[in-house]
Amino acid sequence: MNKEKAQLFERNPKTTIIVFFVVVSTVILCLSEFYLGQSKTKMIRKGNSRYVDLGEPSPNSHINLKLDTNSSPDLFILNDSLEFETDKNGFIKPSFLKENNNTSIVFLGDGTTANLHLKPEDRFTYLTGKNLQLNTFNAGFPGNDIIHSINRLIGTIIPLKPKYVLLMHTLNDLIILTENGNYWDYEKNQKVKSFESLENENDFSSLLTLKKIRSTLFNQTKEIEETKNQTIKIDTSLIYKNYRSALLTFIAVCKDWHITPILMTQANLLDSTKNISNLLKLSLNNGLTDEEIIAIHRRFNSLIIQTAKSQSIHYIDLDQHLSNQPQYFYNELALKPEGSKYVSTIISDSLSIWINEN
Amino acid sequence: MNTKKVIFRISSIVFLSYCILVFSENQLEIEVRIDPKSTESINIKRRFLSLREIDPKLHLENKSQGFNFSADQNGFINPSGKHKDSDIDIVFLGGSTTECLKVDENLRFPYLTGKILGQKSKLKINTFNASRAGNNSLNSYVKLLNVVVPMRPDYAVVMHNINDLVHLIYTESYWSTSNKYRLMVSSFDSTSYYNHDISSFYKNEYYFPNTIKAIKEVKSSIFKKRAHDNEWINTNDVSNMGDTNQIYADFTSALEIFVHTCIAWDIKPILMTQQNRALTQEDAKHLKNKLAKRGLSLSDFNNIYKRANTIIRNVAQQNKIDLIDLDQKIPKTAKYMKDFVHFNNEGSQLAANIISDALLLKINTTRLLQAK
Repeated sequence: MNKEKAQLFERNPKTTIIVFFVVVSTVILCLSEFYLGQSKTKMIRKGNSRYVDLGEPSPNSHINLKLDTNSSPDLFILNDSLEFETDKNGFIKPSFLKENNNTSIVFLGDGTTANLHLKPEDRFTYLTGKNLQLNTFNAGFPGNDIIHSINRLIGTIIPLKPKYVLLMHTLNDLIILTENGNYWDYEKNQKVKSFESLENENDFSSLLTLKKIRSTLFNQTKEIEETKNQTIKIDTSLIYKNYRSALLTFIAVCKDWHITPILMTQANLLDSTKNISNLLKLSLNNGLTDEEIIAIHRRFNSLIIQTAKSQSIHYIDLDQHLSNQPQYFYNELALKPEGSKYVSTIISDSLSIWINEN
Repeated sequence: MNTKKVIFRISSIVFLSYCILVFSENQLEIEVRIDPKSTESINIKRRFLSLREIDPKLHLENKSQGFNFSADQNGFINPSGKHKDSDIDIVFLGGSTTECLKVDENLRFPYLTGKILGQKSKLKINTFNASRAGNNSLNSYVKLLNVVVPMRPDYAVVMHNINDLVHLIYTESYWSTSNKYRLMVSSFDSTSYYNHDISSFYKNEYYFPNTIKAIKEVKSSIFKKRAHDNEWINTNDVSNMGDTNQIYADFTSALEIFVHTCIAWDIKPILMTQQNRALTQEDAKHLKNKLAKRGLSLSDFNNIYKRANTIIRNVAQQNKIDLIDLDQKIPKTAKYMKDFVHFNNEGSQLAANIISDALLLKINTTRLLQAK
């Protein structure tokens, strides 16, 4: 046996030494690893890292979507394509930028503020800046509610130190609150998400899923009818309370960071239409009648005014100026260029007075 | 075979192995390193608000130190929310001083407060520990708005001071993009608790992590580099200290939005000042060097720290909300704190007693008012 071993070494001295060296090294390494590991913190279970969705499009992007309006019905999708650009802060271009002027105005809101269906130069966010010769930025995005806007305010807008932030949220908040009673359980547009789910996300997940455009209009209509037959009891007082709490939070965040908050009511054609269009119904899976939906929307607008008054802040009542005037709208909410221009005039007039007062 | 050749070949193999080890080490480092570049200077796919919390369902264990650390599905540090049908829910928010990582699991004051309060009040009290090492007031605000408010707890107790100050002193803004505690993250970043806060003792999980760590420690001791485990240490240095008044103003704003948001959602906010004791020589030495780069002395830092606790008191007073003054009530000795601000087991127990007494008074007052 010893002779055989000796022969093995004699026959392959290099290999034997190398193998011996590797084996000894590995044993030493494993022993040290085991010994050192005794005092080490071990992970029994890995957690899921989460983040908060800002409800903003990707910064520095040029987005051009080809859409099928039949399979993708949406109040703000009027053509077969949707194209827009964003700047480094995720604001929808164009921003009106005035050199040597530090006064900035940021608009927060949903699709009625983003106005992606309009030509960039026709959006009231840009026209207001042009009228006032002040810097204006469009931070609206379809599908957003007030909580999205507060998160965006906290994350990206406060450090830019704007002078004024204008907020307009009504319909999306109505959709979300009537379905869940709160802002956080809305399955199709959750605020807190796991990083693991990121792969399936895109900028338009909120817009598209919000409007339930996965199936055809016919199927959707059928689904609406089915929902209507269900008896869903909605606690409207809770909805109003949550909506007011969200408005108060927005106002507090602005004031505490020395930004002047301004609330805007949402102009619409709801009152003038006896029946809500199928297009809008796609968003509403709450079993409410058309009259109830219109009443809640009206109440939301009045809550905006009440809250602004109670907090001694300015508000702009677009509802009073534009609502029920079809010449300004494509449908219940989507503004025509004429409507957008009129909105910019109303906002500019109000702001110029308040700016001069200061 | 020539002996020299054998030695040469073995040396070559050893050298090659070492190169491979170094290369893999660097690769792993890159994987977990925090990119110090501004989010604006890299190609951003998407941006998010960082929810700096303990990763939901994370579980860590260190048997030799008797250390157990886990979080529930909402990222609250266990034990949290023990009762199914509770009478009162209390959420604690803060940084490492609330997280109490190195305190025994059942002695961490957020949990212990609920236990003591339950015994004294005969009520089912649920407490939730929503803190995370390194968090400042704005990090806690994000957690409040997106995770805590939906729960509608009765009370939200918050304690912040040193993390905010260090953040503001070193980076001049809550929105600085140059450190790992930044508020905004992109899809390139990892916000995982596992990657960030415990990286000093749990990194490089593959390829002999313990041995690599031990080698690193030996290397650090040879080159006199101290391995820091304080969560604010790795912030980038910025020269020319800005206006301290701006620090106070930002800290006040961050506290105010916390208070006002709680009130808007019918949650009773409670502010706590931060306990502290004299800096140890080691802490002082390190802080001194860091502060010197910002033109501040240790005395300046102490004054700013005291002022921050005063701001907490003022914000509570101006908003007519409750304050628990741990700065005054916790004796400033090593008996209760393992370093400048972090509790040991005794300190955590004392804090739990102080907080539960304050809350009991509050609960009893509320009961009396409701009875009337």
